[in-house]
Amino acid sequence: MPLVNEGTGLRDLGKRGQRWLRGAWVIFRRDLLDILRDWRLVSPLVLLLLIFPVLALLSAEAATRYMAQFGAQLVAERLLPFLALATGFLPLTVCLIIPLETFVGEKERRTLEPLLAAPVSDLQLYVGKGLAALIVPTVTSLLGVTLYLLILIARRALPPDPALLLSLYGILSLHAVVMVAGAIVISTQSHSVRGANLLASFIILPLSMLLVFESSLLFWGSYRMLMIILCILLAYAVLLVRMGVALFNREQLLSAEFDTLDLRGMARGFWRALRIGDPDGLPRSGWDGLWGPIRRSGGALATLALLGLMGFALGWSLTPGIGSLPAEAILERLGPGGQNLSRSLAFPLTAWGIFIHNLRAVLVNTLLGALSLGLWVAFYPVGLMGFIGMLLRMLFTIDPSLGMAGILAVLPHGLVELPAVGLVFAGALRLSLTLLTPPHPRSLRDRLLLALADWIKLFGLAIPLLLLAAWIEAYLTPHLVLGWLAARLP
Amino acid sequence: MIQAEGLRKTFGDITAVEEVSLEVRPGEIVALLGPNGAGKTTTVRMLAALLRPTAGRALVAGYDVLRQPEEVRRRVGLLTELPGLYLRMTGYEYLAFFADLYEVPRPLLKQRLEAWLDRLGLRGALHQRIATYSKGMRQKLALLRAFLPLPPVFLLDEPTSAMDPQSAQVAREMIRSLAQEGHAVLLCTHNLYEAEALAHRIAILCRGRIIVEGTPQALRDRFLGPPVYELRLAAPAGQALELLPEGLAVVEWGSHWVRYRASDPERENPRVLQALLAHGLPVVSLSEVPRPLEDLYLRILNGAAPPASPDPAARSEGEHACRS
Repeated sequence: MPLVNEGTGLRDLGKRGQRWLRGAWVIFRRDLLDILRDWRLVSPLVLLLLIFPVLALLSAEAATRYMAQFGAQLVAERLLPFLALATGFLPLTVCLIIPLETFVGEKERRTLEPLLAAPVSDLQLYVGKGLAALIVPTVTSLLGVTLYLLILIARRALPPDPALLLSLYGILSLHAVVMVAGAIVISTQSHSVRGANLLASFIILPLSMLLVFESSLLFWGSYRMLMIILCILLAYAVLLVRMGVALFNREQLLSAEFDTLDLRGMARGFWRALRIGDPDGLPRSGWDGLWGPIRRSGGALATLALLGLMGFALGWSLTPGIGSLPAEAILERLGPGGQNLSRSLAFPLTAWGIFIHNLRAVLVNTLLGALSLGLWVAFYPVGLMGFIGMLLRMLFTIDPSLGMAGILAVLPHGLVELPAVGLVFAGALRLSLTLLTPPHPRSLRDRLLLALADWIKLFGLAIPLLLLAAWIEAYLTPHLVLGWLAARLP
Repeated sequence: MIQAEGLRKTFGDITAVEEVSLEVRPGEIVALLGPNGAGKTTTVRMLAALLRPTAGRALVAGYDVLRQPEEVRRRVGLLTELPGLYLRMTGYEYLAFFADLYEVPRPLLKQRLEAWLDRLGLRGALHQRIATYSKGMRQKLALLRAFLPLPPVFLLDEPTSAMDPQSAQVAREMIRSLAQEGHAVLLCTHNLYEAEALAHRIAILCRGRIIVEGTPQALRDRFLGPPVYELRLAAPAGQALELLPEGLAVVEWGSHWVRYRASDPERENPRVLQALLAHGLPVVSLSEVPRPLEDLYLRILNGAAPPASPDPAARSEGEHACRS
């Protein structure tokens, strides 16, 4: 009777889903009521909703009149969407205050423990509380913008533009999600509202800068670029939510003390991680070695290899029409810069120059990877391998023997260089992703220390490999390529 | 109901709980005593599936705290050290919120509130904002929150703190009646009177370890020796001392009183009375000298060995007690 079982299983699943939603809903409802009952939060929001659209309208009118004196009507028109963004952004700043208040505030007032003792999962708590913190300022912000735009449209000052509306609502909603998700992450790392407020500048500063950039794009009407930024913001919203879900757990909320910087403890943990591969373990004889870090970074390495293959396949299959051009035409297109390519490189084409360049590249990319929560490191192989795939496809299209020359130019040193770079990037990816995964059984600090120690070991392992690859690239590859081409030249 | 074996919890380099093994059976109240920082709260949090033990195992109401934390939480009524109430809610809203989380239907919630509100004197304040409640009322509300789902296990941290004596008495009666109905109660308290009044067994936790465990009487006998009786006379005590049965362990005496230790009071006390009355000595009273739990507790924490214990294990038990 598999059908009956399946039905029962589905029913069970449905009931469990319903139960899960009910739990999250109960938390959401309580928090929402609590927010709406707090006059300190509600009154500024109401004032912003009622006053700011009007203020923005008055400013727009004044600016339009002023600009009209100089015949700069176009500039005045572009100011209107910019002011819409400003109208929506101010209520959004409350997006930071509410989660800090509801998460850290609850921790500080000791109301969180009875809630954590209730039969609800960490995710239900996160969703319920996060949505309650998100909804009030977001609705206020979108209502304010809608009010402002409706008045403008009614006065025929601004034609209804779907691209503009989508961009405005998209920017504001995603900013709200990023702020709330970021504030929840901060909440898990603070034990006092004061500490959380200090950390909140890490969110508000980059987001304000991004908003300035977005508003300038809105001003110039670069909606395509704005959409790309919105996609990146969406990716970060997802990553921050993932990070928040990973860090928002009972253990973390109840047990840790984050407000003091324990440098000595960190140094001790780092040394243990470096030596025995366990920041929390008892010192024992014998080093962790290199196999441990490679094994622990295996998942990241496999992910990077897969992304690299995907990049190569994409580059190969999506090669533009330039591939069908003769070599002379390609060089012509590249211009004099292309013909003097080797001279315009930022590093000398010697073994040492290549090695230093590669070393610098892995270090800079690791740093960018850590700052971008792993996104940069994850997509770097796609770009790199995509470029190689594209180049090889072009060479093969022009002439198969040229394609083989391309393979000879890449493969010998690539066989050493790519695994070396892959190891360092895998370590960097793991370091970045540590923040996005639940800190069990070790604490977040210990896991970060372990990931850093592993990255250092992997980097140490990569150095001789990069040296060897640079030597091959400088001394062996040119001979191989030139030998191959010379044999085939008429 | 609660079975913990070798529970251990470390936070980085700090060991909050070294090793705790504990059992609380259905219908039993066990008091977990210990100085500040002994690891009581961490133990309770592990049993409530709020913290994951670093080592060891605990079953609460048949569920593993590590593998089935949500099932454990569903079956535990936890009263935290501080009430932790949402001050902008009314008492009823607060209880209804937790009833919803524990999936207690509204009719059942009302029925349970009907049974408890008057006893705790909260009926009049139920629809007022919690911010207006006194400290004691907040504690009562928190206690109600823990009781509401009527789970099989209760973990109560200082259940009557800040309550007036009358309310504390009512709360104790409620806890006692819950135990009589078969609920298991683990009580963390510094109120030794309360522990004595409620607990069937006592466990003393020190520096993350349970150093002694047993019924209050058994622990008294073990650490304070057999009970001491006080004989009050309407005549000088000197006369009585000469008449007391041979071998009776007299502890101290005054002008009109004598105290002696009786390891078998049912046999020894009638003999004492008989001897005195036979010689016409006027006995005013014969009663056991109260030995408050506090004496026992302090004695254990100060590292005292059971008196005249020939058992080296018992002596070392006392010696490794709470001295730093």
